[in-house]
Amino acid sequence: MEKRKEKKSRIVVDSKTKKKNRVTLKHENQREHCPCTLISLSLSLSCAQLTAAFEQQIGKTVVLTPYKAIHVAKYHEWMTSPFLQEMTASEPLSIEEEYDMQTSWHVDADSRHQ
Amino acid sequence: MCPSECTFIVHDAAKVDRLDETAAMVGDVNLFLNDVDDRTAAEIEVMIAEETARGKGMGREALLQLMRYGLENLHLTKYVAKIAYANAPSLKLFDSLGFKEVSRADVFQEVTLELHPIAEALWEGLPGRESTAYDGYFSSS
Repeated sequence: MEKRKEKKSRIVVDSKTKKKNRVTLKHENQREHCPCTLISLSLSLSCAQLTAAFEQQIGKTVVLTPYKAIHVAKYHEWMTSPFLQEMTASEPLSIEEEYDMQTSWHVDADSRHQ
Repeated sequence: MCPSECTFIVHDAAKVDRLDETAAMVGDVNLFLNDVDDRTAAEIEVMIAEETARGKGMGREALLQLMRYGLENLHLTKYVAKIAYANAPSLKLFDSLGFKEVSRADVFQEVTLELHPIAEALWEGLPGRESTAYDGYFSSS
């Protein structure tokens, strides 16, 4: 089985062959044009704007907030659980990698939280 | 940097401590805008990591909150979920929300489910959007 280093891999469609590939974040970042960037450009939205619009959602039983640096330590602790790794089809990240994952979608919007 | 993946932390509303942003953390919920051929489709995931928080409908509500947000703000028309064969509780949850199996990938031990179109009736009974205009739920926000 293909080794997957990050918590979540994703499906990316090759624009030439239309073939769907499952890639890791690491591989994706090595591409000249990240397809995700193309999507966000077409939506005229960055994740920074997405999360800004979604600052907090207050529900009945849950409250949702953007993933910030303050959450990383506990998140990292969760993901050391073999049970959660199996359920989420993921492999453990180092704490440094986890901070990288967190800042990758929050670097623009939320410097106040870093 | 890949800006189209967004992760939100799920907190237990009953245990939220406005002075400690990590006290009530129970899991996360994600949206990936990762299909270049269909910009109204998004992959969605949820994890309730804290054992004591499982089986209380928190994953369901977190998904519904994010699904409503995606429909109303990002104009999404399709949600995709990839779930491990072994993850029976998640399979049951997504099935109950109307997701239908579209494929299986034995190599990843994962089933792919889709919800399309999205029925707004799903989030009837959830608190309204006005509740999101809460000014600073946590002290640092």
